[in-house]
Amino acid sequence: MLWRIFHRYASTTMTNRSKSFTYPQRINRSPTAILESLNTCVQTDGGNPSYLFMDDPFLIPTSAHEKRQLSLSKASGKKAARWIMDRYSYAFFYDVAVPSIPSYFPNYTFDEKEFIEPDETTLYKLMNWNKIIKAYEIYKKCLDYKINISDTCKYALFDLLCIYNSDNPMEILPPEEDWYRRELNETNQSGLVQRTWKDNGLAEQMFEELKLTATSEQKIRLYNSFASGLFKYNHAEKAMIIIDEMKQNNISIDLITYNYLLRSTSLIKETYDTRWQFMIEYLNEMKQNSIQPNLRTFNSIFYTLRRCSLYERGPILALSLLNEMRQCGIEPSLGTWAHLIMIFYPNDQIGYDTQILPQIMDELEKQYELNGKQFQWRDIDDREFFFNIMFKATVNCRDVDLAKRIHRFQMTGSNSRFIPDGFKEQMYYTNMFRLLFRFDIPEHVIPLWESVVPNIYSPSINIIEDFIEFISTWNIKDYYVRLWSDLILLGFIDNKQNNRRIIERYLALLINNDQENLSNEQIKQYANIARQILKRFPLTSDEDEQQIDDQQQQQQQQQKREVNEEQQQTKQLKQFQSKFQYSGQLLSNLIYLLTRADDFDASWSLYEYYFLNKNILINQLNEISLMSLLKLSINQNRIDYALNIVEKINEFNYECLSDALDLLNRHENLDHKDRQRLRTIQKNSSLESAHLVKLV
Amino acid sequence: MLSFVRTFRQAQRSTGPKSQIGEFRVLQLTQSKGSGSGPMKKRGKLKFKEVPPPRYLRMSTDQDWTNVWPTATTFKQSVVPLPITQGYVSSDNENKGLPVEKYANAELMKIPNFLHLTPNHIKKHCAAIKKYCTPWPEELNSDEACEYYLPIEITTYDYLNSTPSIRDSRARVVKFQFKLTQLEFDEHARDKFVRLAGQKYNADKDELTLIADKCPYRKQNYDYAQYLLTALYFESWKTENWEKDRTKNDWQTYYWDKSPSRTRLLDILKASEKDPKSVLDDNKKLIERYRASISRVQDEGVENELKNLTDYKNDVLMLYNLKL
Repeated sequence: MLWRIFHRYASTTMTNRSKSFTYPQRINRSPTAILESLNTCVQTDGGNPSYLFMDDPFLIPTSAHEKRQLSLSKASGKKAARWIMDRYSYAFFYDVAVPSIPSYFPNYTFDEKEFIEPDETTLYKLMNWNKIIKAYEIYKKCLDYKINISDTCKYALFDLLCIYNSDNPMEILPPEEDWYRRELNETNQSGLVQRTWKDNGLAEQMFEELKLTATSEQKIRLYNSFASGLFKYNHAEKAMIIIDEMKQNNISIDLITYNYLLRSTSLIKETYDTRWQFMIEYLNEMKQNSIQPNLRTFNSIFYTLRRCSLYERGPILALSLLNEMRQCGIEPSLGTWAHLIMIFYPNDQIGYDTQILPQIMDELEKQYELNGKQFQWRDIDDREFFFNIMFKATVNCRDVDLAKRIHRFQMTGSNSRFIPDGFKEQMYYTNMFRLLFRFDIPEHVIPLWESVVPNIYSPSINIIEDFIEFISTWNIKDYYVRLWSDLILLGFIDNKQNNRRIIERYLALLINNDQENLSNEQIKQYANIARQILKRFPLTSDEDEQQIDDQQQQQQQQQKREVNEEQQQTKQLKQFQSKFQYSGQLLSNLIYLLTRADDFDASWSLYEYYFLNKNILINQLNEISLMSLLKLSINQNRIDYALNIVEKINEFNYECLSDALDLLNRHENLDHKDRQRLRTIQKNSSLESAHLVKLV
Repeated sequence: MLSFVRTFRQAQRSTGPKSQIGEFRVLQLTQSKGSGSGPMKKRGKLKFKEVPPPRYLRMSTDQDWTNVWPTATTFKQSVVPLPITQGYVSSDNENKGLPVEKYANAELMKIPNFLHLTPNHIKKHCAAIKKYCTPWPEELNSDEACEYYLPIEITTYDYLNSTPSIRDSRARVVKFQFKLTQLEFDEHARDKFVRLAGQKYNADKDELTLIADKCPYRKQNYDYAQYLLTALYFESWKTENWEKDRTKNDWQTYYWDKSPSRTRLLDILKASEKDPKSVLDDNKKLIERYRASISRVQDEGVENELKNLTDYKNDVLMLYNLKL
C-alpha cells in the first residue's frame, strides 16, 4: 500500500531510469548452509587434540589408554548427569532458554504402572517406548479380553517384532562408548555370521496367528516382514521356506526382502557357481516384477561375491556388476568399493596384478570433487572402506605411494568420519606405518608420523617397536632424545610387563649406534635419560625391603587386629604392583650411559646394586659396561674400585680381562699392594690372554 | 596409578586386661591418643604424568593457521607461536621489570582475540560463502539511483547476548526514514505535513524519521509506523474547516499576494493614476521588484538583513520616484 503512494518524485533524474526495479532472487539455502560451507574451510590438523579434550599441554591425553579413560569417563559423567536429571526431575523444570531446548530437560522415564490398560493406545505408547516384549504381553491380554485392536496396530507390532528379533532393541550407546565398542562388546568380536533368530519366539507366534486372518494385501506385508526378519538374523533355511510359501501363494516379494535375500545367499547355497546362479535367478525375477534395484541391492550382491573367496570368476563378475550399477544410474558408494577390494584381493597372499586400487582412488577423488567436497553415508557397508583399502594396499600391493594417497584422501575434509571405531582406526594406521617403515625413507615417514601421532593416533606397542627399529636402521641420531619423550608421552615407560621390552630396546638403540662422534650435549642427554629411568623405577635392594618389613612388623605389634589387616592389605597391594624388575642387561646399559657422562657415583651404586641382588637378577653385567666403568674409575683415580671391577671381570671370565689388566697396569699411581693384587688376579684367571699381559 | 586404601575407624573391643566372665566390658568409641597407627602417614604425593612442551615449539613456519585456529576460542598460550606479552609492570621488582609473558597470562585470556579472522581465514570464508551471494543490481549504481529505486529506509536492530535466551527488548524498535520529495504534495499538504511531523522532520536534509517503539513486538511497531505514515500523509491533504481561520501570523512564508502590503500599494498607485485597471500592467516591473524585495525582507530574517533592507529602500524610492 505504501508503495503506491511513493512516486518516483525525485526531480534530479538525469538519466533515464527504468520505472521498475527487480530484486535479484534470494538463493535458497537451508538454515545451516552457511555453517556447513564454512566447515569445509577447515581441514584436520594433527596438532590439535580431539574436540573432546581440553587443549592444554597438561590436559591433553597422549597415550591410547589415557584417551580411552578420558573419553569414557566424560561419557560416564554425561550419563550420570542425565540420570540425576531424570531421577530428580522436579528440580529441573525452570526454563531460562528462549526458545526452549528440549534436550536439556528431564526426559520422561518409563514407568511400568502407566501401561497396564490393555487397549490400543497403550500398545502404541509402548511401541514408541521400544518396549516390545511388554507390548506383546499387552497384546495378548487384549486378545484374552476380546478387545478390538486395529489391523494397523497389529501389523506395526509384528513389524517391530521382526525387526528386533522378538526382543527390546538395545540402547544406543553414546558416541564415546561406541568408539570402543569392539572392546566393550565381548561377544562376536570376530564378526562371524551367526544365526541369532529366536526360534518359536514371539515373532513366529504372532506370524502364525496373523496368517489366518490376513487379507491378500496384508499377507504381502506379513510375509515380507517375516522373511526380512529371518534373513536379517541369519536363519536362512526357514526364510527360504517362507519364500517358497510366498511363491506358492502368489505373494509378491518386495525390494527389502530381495535385498536381504541377496545378502544371505552365501548361507543358502554352498558352491560359488550355484550362488551366482541363485542371485541371477532372483534378479531376473525382480526384473519381471519390475522392481528397481537400489544401492542396497547391489551392495548385497557384492557382499555375497565377497563371501565367495578365491572365486575365479569373481572379479570379472564384479566389474560387470559395476557397469550394471552405473547403467541403473546408481552411484557406487564407499561400501561398494570396500567389497570390490575384498573381491579382488581375497586373502593376504593372493594379489591379482591389477591396478584396481589406484583406479578406485581416481574414481573416488573425482566423485569427491563432484559432490561438492563431501561424502555422505549412504550404506552401512561404507564403514569398512578405509580399513579394507589400507589393508590391501599395504599387505597385498605393498605400494607406498598408494598408501600415502589413501591417507591424504582420508585426511581431506571430513572423510575421517568413515572410520567408525577405534579398532579399525588402530588397524588402519598399523598397516600403513608397517608398510612405510619397511619401504620408505625417513624424510617422508617422520613428518607423516609427527602429523598423526599423538593426537589422531596413539600407536600400540608393536608399531612403537617397529618405529624404534626403523630409527635404528636409518641411524637418525638426532631423533633419539625426542623419541624418549615421545615414549613417555605415549605411555610406554611404565611398570607393565610388555613395556619393559620397549625400555630395553630403546637403551640398546642408544648404545649400539654409538660412537665417538656424539656431541657432549647428546652424551649428557642420554645420561639424563638414564637418570630419569632410575627415578621412575627406583632401585630397592632386598635389605631395604627387609627394613620396610621390619618396620611394618613393629607397627603391627602395636596395633589391633582390624588395623593390622589394613596394613597387610597395603603390603599385599604393594606386592601386586610389582616393582620394576631390573635385569643385568638393563643395568649394564644404564651403567654405560652414566659412565660416558662421567657420573661415577650413580654408576657405582648401580654396580653395587647388581652384586647385592645378583641372585634375583637375570643376566649378567656385560663387558662393555664393566670396561667403561673401569676406565672411568681409572680416570678418576679410584684404584680400589678399579681393582674391584677387575676382580669381578675375572669372576665372570670375560675375554676383556687382558685389556683390563693392561689398562690398569699402565696407570702410574698404582702402589705395591695394588700391583700385588693385579698379579694375583692374573694368576687366578683361567684365560690365556690374561696371562700374556706383562705386569710391572 | 593411585591406589587408595580406606582406613576404617571402628569401635574397638576392650584392650585392657582380659575381662573375666561377668565383668562389664567397656565400650570404647574412639581411639585414645596413644594407640594411633604409628607415625602419621604422610599423604602420598600425587604422581602426575610428564607435561609435554607446548606445541608451538613444533609448529612449522608454513603451516596453515586456518586449520590450527579455526574458530574463536580463548587465548591458548601453548598454541600461539608468537612471543606475545600483556601487562603493566610498575617497577623493577615486579617480574624483574620485564613485560609479562603469555604463559598463564589472565589478561590475554580475558580479552577477545582475532586469531580466528586472519586475512587467510577471511579469504577462505568468503570463497566458501560466495555461492550464496547474488550480484549487486546494476540499476543501483549511485546514491541517487538508490534513492530513486529505494526511497524509504527501514532500520531494525538485532541483539545477541551470551545467554540461553535470544530475546532482547531493544530489538522491538523500528525506524522509518525517507525524503519528502518522494511523496506527492501540494503546498498546503506539504506545509501541513511538516507542521504535523514537528520534531520528526529534519529541514536540513528534508527527511522524515519515524521511530516506533511503543509496542512490545517489532512487527507491531512496524505496522504502527506504516499506519502513522499513511495517516500523516492523508491528513495533510485534508483541509479542515478551522484552517480557514489562518491569520497573517500563521503564514509559514510571506505571501505578498495575500498581504495587506499589496492592497495598500495598489491603492496608492491607483490613487495616483487615472486609469485604475491598468495600474498593474503599467508598473509591472516596479511592482515585481518591490514584491521581491519585501518578500525577501520578510522571509529571510536575520541573514542578509542589511542587504535586504537597502534593496527594499531602493525599490520603494524607485516606486515613488523619489531620489535620495
